[in-house]
Amino acid sequence: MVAITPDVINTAELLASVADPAAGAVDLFLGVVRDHSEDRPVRGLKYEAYPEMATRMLRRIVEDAGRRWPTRRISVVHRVGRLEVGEVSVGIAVSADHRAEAFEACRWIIEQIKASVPIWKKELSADGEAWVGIVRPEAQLEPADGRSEPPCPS
Amino acid sequence: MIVNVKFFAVYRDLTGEDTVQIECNAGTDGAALLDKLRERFPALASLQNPGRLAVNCEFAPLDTALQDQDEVTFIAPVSGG
Repeated sequence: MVAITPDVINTAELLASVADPAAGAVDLFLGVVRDHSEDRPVRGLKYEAYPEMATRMLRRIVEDAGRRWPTRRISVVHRVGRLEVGEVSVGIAVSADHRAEAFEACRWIIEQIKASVPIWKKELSADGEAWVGIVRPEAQLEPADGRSEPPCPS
Repeated sequence: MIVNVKFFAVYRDLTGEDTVQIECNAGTDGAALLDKLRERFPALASLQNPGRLAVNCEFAPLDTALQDQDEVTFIAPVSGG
């Protein structure tokens, strides 16, 4: 199962979706919204995806993981929309005959997602909102920043 | 020819649009399209890293020649997970 969803991720369903009588190990990874980013408090996150491309890439990552490790079943669900602190943003479940391949495949999948799948998060804090990893345009307008260009007249 | 440009995340915030149709000459590549978009949406110039080009839901080099009716997206640095 692969999905991008605005709905709360149901971890019991996620685990059930990888059940397999031949599996002796199930690995579950959950990405969770935390209340801080470095030293700044965070109120929540807003996730957005390019759904068609993200779904296609998630399917491909799952297929690749299945080729790299002898797994049984793999499910990946990524949430979009507004999430509060403590909510699950991404869930990955992998079943395999033995634990080593379940752990390795699960770890590899989350790293692939973070590296290239077109999903973005915006941090919501007391200071406002900011896309993570994106240099904020406002920052360039701050005169204190020596590298700034002067703002264009609008 | 016409290409359909979809905007997500910081691109949508900066342009205020979800989708725009851009008319361009045959042979226009991703880099030339980005220049055209920056002319139409000057706020895009503030993005220090424009990210990667995607054509029809696949990453593609910036010098990929676009085709009529392609769905084109610029994928700002991703932050899923």
